[in-house]
Amino acid sequence: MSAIYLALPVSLLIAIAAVFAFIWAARRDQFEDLDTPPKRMLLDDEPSRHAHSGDRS
Amino acid sequence: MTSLADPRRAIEAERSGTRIECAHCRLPVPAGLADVAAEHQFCCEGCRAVWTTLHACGLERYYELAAREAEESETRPAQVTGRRYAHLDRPEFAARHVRIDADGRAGAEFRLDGLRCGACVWLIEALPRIVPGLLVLRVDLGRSALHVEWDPDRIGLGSIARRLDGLGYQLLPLANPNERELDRLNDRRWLIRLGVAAAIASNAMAVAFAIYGGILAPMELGYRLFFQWIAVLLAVLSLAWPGRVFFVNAWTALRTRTPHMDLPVAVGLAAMLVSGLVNTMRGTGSIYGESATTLVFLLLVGRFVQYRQQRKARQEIELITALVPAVARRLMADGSIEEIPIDALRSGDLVQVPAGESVPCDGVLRGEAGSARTTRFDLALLTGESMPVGVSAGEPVFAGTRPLDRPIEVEVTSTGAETRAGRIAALVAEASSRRPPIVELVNRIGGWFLATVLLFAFGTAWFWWGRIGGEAALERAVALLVVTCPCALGLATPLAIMSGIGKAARRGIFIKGGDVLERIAHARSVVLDKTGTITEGSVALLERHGDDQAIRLAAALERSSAHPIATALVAAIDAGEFPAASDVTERSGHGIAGSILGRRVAVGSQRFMGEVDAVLPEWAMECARGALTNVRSPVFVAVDGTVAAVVAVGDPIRPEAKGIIKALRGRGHAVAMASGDHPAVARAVARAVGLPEDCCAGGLTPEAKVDFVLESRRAGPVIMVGDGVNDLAAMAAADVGVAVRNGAQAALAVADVCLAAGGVRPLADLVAGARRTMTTIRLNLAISIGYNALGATLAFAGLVNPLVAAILMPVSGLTVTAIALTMPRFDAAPRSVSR
Repeated sequence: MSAIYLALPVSLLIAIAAVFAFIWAARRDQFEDLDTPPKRMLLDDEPSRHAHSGDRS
Repeated sequence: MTSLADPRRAIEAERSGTRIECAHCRLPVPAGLADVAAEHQFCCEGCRAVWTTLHACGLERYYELAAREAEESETRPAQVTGRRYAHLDRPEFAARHVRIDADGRAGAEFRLDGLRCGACVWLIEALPRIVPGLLVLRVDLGRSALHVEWDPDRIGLGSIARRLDGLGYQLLPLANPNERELDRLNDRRWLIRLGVAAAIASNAMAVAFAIYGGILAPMELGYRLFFQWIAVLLAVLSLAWPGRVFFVNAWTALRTRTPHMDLPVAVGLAAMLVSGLVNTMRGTGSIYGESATTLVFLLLVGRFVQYRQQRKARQEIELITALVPAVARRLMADGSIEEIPIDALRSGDLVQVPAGESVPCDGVLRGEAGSARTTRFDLALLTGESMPVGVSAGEPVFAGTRPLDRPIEVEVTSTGAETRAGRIAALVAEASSRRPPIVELVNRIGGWFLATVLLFAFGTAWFWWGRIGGEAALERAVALLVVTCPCALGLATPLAIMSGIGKAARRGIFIKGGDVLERIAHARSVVLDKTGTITEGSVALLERHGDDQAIRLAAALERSSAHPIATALVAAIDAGEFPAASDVTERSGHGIAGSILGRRVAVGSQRFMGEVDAVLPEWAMECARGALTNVRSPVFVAVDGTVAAVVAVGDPIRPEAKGIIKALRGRGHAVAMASGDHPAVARAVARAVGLPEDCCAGGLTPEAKVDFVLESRRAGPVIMVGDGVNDLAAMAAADVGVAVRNGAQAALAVADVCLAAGGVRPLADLVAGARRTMTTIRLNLAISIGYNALGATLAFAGLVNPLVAAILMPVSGLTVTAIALTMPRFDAAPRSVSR
């Protein structure tokens, strides 16, 4: 039973880590647009020609 | 642009059995436009232009992707406007909308029209590879938004916009770029607040389980203290972080001396926390870890919903103004055309408007004075009228309306907020703000409940202190606090509302909040719009008299016209065996004539029959008079110089309307009809659906509809049912606005309720369901208040100790939950209504 003294704080630490991960994601606009990215992922480009096109400037 | 293929023509091509697909949008190509010799067929010039551009740029992959996406998206022809977008390159635009970052990159946000599916995302985001100087395009499908980054030294914004226009996408500037950014930050803040509150509440709940478990099977003091300290720390965290907003608001309310719902909430939460802390230090009694954290979360959810509703309403007001173009084509003295933002228009300027595009300002139609020639206008934005209306030179035209058959010139009289569309937007804004602020029921009851309970607890302690000693008195006070846990009360309302809204949604009724249900249940009168609500909102063939073959010939001839009457004829009559007409001449607004298989066919008004010298027999006039008394438009069909058939077209009344109106009246609602159409039309429709004539008003402008609703509101709360932008202000002025299916986008968004199931059929279900939900809520409140009153009395008398109270506490919560989830139903309106 005394394992609870360790287990509970550890579980709370995990929860805190999850909360911070969530805040990190929210601050980086991960929840901004939930419609387009799943499409964008499926509509991939032709693999070869423009591999680094996005960074070209 | 009027030749843009519309789906009506598609139907026609399909009927004649020669279905040819447009190479770009995959809609059928109208028979008249098909070019047998060409390899690729197009339904319109817009599609042809986009197809050519895509192939020239090596972006053919779009079609492959579009085919994959086809199932879930609607398709429509591409619209290429050919605008110059010169105003985007002006310095005043850049100052307001464009940000330049440290590397010299420019960035801006826009609304993008013409987005359809994922293939559009690919196509647009592939553009920076082809257009030098264009760095990033990022599409947000849900919001129809586009983020653009470019190198201002190499390319201008106007030329980017022209590129997108060439592909069928129109770049529209945001009305308020700073506000959009603010909304984004606010959204994020709310999201974090809610997420953190939920995480703390769930962890506190887990710890609380351990504590309550300990009450049943006593555990060592060390463990119990450990759990209690963690629970109380979580409560402190919850109140100090996501719950801080309540204390901030309460403090503002105190300072400004304006009562606010957050005040009792803050007092209750603070009292909970303090007594929790004290109890933890004393080592006995309840510490409210899970109650306080759950309460914070639930209250925040309520606030969030409220915040979203308000923001949505504000954005939709913006949307109405967005229907009016932001750019005008000003005609210069030398005859050239200059594109300028509408802010720069002065009264007296001449503006050119291409056919099919919205007029950017209020003004007077120019043309040869006294000319009988009229231009047909789509006035749906302002009047909701389904039929185009003829406007002759010298008459006023309004922003947001569209000339249908030819480009026009307009002399500007007013622009922007001064136009009728602008004033309607202002009316909507005003009407929405006049509505009493939404006060979430959880707050209203929860806050005062907490304060009352605390008062009782202190009273109990104070009362017994001198009589049975401090220790026992405190025990009774704590038992009272525990037994009157606000969970049941807090859950009673939101659960019943959630359950009601969920069940309504399954029946195609979308309700935008709990307070709406409450207002529907209390409504006294129901005001219905005519066009599109009681009627179908489109022109259809209602009567046919005379020679059947003549009618089929008429339908064959009308294939080559885009007039609504032609569409109705083509849709209703199968003229498959006849070939397309030749020598077709169309007199806009009057009729159409042509030859089919060597026979001369003319279809049109009585006046048109006179123009083509057709013989009008008496029976045909009789049919026409009969149609006119039923407010239908008679159309004559002459074959080889004699009228052989008469058909009548009109806006058909929805078959279920009469039954629904009867059911609503049977339930004690006053039903009225407010129509923008001619009073005679309104009266005829009222007669047909069994409404007394004094309950119906015709010829109402959008402004008059607001007055009509306000007048009805004197007798009690009003539900306004409508479908168009012309009903928006009235819907906002009513206690509840209901939008029926296929209504204007802005109407759907301003409305409190959207009916997706078509027509007014769900209206009776909605009213009955809302009443049942309110009954459930009242029953739930009665149960939990009764339970709490009983528990408090027993605890005061010392008949409940904290342990028993902790076991009894969930019982009321469970009862309330069970009732809430099973009671409200939205399907119990008598079925006979729908038949």
